Amino acid sequence: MSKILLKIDGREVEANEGATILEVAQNVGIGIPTLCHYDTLEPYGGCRLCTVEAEVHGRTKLVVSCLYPVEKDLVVRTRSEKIDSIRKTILELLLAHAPDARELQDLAKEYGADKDCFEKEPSFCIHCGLCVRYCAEVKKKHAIVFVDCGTKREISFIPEIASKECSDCKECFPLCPTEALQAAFVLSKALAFPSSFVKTAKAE
Amino acid sequence: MDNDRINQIIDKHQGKASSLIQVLMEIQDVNHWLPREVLQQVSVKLGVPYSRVLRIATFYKTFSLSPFGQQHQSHPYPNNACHDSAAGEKEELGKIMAPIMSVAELEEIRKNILAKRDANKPCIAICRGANCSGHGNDRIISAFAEEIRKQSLEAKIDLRVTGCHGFCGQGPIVVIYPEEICYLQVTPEDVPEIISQTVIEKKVIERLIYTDPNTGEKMARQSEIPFYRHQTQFLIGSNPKIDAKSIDDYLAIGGYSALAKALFEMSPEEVLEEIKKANLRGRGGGGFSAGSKWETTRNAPAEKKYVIVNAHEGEPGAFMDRAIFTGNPHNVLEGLLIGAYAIGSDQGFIYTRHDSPELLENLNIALTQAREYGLLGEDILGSGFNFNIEVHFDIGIFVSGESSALMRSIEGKAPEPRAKYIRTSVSGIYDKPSNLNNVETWANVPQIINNGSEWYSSIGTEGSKGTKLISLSGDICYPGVVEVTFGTSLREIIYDMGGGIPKGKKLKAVHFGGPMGGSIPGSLIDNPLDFDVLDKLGAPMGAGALRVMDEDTCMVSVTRDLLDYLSKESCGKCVPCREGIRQMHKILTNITEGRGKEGDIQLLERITDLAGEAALCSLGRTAPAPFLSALRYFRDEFEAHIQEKRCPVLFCNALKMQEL
Amino acid sequence: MSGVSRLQYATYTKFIRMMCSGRVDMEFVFRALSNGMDGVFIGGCHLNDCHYSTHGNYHAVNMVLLTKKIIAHLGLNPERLRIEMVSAGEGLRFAEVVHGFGMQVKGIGPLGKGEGINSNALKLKLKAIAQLIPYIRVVQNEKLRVHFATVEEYRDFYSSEEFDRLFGELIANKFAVSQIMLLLRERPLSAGEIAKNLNLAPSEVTQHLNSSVMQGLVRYEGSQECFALVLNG
Repeated sequence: MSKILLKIDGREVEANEGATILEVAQNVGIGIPTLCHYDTLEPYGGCRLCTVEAEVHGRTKLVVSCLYPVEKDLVVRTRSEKIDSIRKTILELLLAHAPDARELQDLAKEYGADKDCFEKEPSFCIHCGLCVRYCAEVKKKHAIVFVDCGTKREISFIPEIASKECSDCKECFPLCPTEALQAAFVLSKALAFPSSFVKTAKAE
Repeated sequence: MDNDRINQIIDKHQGKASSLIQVLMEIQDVNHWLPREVLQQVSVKLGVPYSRVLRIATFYKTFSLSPFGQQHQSHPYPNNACHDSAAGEKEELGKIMAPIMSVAELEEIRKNILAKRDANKPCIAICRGANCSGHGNDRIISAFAEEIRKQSLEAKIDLRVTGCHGFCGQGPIVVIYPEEICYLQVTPEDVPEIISQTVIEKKVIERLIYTDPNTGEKMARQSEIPFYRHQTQFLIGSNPKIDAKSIDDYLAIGGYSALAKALFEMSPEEVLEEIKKANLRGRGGGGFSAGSKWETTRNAPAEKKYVIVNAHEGEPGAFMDRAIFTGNPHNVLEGLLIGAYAIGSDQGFIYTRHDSPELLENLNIALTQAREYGLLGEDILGSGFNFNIEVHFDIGIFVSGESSALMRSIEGKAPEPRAKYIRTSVSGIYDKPSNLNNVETWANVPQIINNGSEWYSSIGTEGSKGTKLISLSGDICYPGVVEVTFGTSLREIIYDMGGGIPKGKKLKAVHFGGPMGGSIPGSLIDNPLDFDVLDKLGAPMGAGALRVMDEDTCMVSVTRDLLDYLSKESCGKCVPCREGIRQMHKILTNITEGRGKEGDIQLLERITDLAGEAALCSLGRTAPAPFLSALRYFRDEFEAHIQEKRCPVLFCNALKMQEL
Repeated sequence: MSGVSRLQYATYTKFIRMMCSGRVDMEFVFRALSNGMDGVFIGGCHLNDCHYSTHGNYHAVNMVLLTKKIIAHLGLNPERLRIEMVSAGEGLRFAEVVHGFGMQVKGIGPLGKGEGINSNALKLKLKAIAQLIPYIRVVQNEKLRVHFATVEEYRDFYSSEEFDRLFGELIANKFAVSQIMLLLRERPLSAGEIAKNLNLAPSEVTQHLNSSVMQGLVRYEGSQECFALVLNG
């Protein structure tokens, strides 16, 4: 595989063809924040937190580093006023949903994001998609899926599959940054899993 | 629940994962909702993960998971409108027509058709465009048919049901040829009089013709009416002259001669050159150079290439694609064939809506006839060029008009735009190079080949060549579809063609591009219709939907409504779009209800920056555009709402109450 | 001295000792009410007075205020649950307060009957909330994690518009669905039957049914023209 020379934050870096900016940056120890990225899953490009400035042939554009493939003479900047502003706003939008999510706290401090910038939203899922993707790509069970679209989009366990598979698995649980997955599971289990019917009957 | 029908539908598509949406549509149509057990069956029989079936079934509002859900009637569409295969169709119809195998044969047939037609024979052309149909002109059509039959005039009078004439606000429209007398707002009761007075005695019925609202002058001929007079009708002008269901009509006006020329007198490279030299720009909203896109697709390293007609027309307020596609489908097909030849593709897709039965019927008939005549399928016109078309449907979400989302949908997946940085012209449907163009863009192609790129590039402005279809709506006297050359001033479109603002009100703003466009104030309407000029003014033309707004429009409220629309039409995957729209919508709602606070505008601007720069697809990137243009030209309205809790045009109800 | 107290009609009071008021879980409160108690009293140390510096009493205040909202949403009188900050040395005050509480609950009347709710409806509501408690715990932890210095500030938050919105979407909606699911466990029902049983507007029931269908909890049974569970026991 041929090697490509590019610059990230002023540093000359060598990379394999086909690698993404994020992969290369991580390899050389340059940190770029991510939320929806996970090594064993296909890059998603949903949270847009890893946005960086990519300059090639004199033209600069904003791209998400988890998906943008490296090219010869690429000049990448992982921090700038514009990038910081983008990340700050993304964090504030997400904090309206999950103000206490542990993964957002440090980032919020670093980028000066104010958790009270926007009115609090009821749902605390941040749509990183890690749970859905993990179950589909790694476990291949497809027990959880996104339903509906636009601002009404949400995750949903498929009871027919989840009631058989999830109790013994739960591998996606640690991936959730906000506990929204736990909440969805606990709710689905209590309301729809047949095993719960027996429990409540017993309680009487 | 009709289990047999449902089983039939599923079995027909067994094993074909890409038919998922089609299957669900057919079941929804037959059963009016999608039972859970059926979804499981579909998953098993089509070989699609159950989770994906659920994703699609909950993604589209057209699908209901229970009879009490939102009921959207997906209209029954002809069974053979999808996955057409060349061989089967020909047999079924049992027609004598054999495929045309040479240009000479084509011209012979054309000559024969014309020989049988008399240009002086009276012809009644009835517009059956969307609006006229909505006014029940089926009764007018049957009234005419009945009257002609009663008086045994079948041999003397031609009756032609045509596509949209464009003058939608004044429909139902009937045009009598050869005099071109144009009658407006016709009712079935007028029919006997029209036949006896105009067709037979050649007398004009005064009360049915156009009257100029200012001068009182009456105009009988269609070409005299200002609405039509100011237009340059290269495309829509054919509509009144043909019956969309008749390929012979299209041949009579010179149809498929461009295809013949391309296939036999030009190489694919030469065709490509012509389109590039003509500077044909995409008409669907992007305005991107069609020639460049074709070239990229042509040069992409892959054997299999696809061409696509985007007939989605999701932009609210845009109804011109439907007008020309329904009224003259062969025009678009011819353009597609020429493009496929230039690009080196042998497979085309038409991606269209499910909710126009007329369009689906005409499209189906056009495809069948084209195949019959050997203009589609193997060895077209004996040239060695092969081409087949598949028709796919969207069932009602704006985001599937986005090219990468559309291609996902054709593959049978949920229409989520692709985040990867690779152009669809290099890797599109099934990762093959795919060239997507809008209906109107394809429709422009035949005339460029026939008349040459030099002719085409002499029309329009420096950066925008040719004509553009504009759908006029909103506070305008004559809503409808008009076709103008680029460079025409907006004033001419609104006042000379559109007749100005009703009730003598003042023009406040014009809005282009729907929820992804912008508004410009009335003071700027002397600007020309041009991709780049309008872009700079902050009102990108988009697909050409022009909404006129009068002095009583509240710009804050309009902006809010557009975001409301987008909040349901976005796919919801990326944060800047989903959350950005959510918060913008909330803040603007608060502003219209008197709860605006200091700092709201700055906050909105910050979200705007985020979405515009970091969103995944163009829906998210252009979602803030209406707000930006409204703020640019009407900032005082926003400030009045926020600081004074006052709506300057007294539109916002909550603020009106506070005033009292 | 702190604990959960139970009072019955005829001023029967049962005392339960805990090491910390923070140990009292929402589940205990509802279990008590399900087992026939008419009121629950919690005595906790004064805020900022925790000798073990773990400050579990804040958690108790949080829990009580949320549980009161839920109790009110069930149609029961929220005064049936009370928390009072009473220190170990305030013996006399403690006795007065508990006695006063007993009188108050007596005045309200027996659980359910005092508010005009029949016993079957009450049983259903309590069962529906009981099965939601694991979910409510996660929600409270994630969305209602507030920390104030005084009880007043807590009260202000729990009566704010912001809280109402969160409560409505996160708890009230799910409670309605929980009840519907319990009814459907018995047998399939039409939307109208559900509405009558739960005393809700048909439009509201339809909304909940639609979202339940979307979430895969419920499906429409075409042949019987009613709704049923997707998965049966």
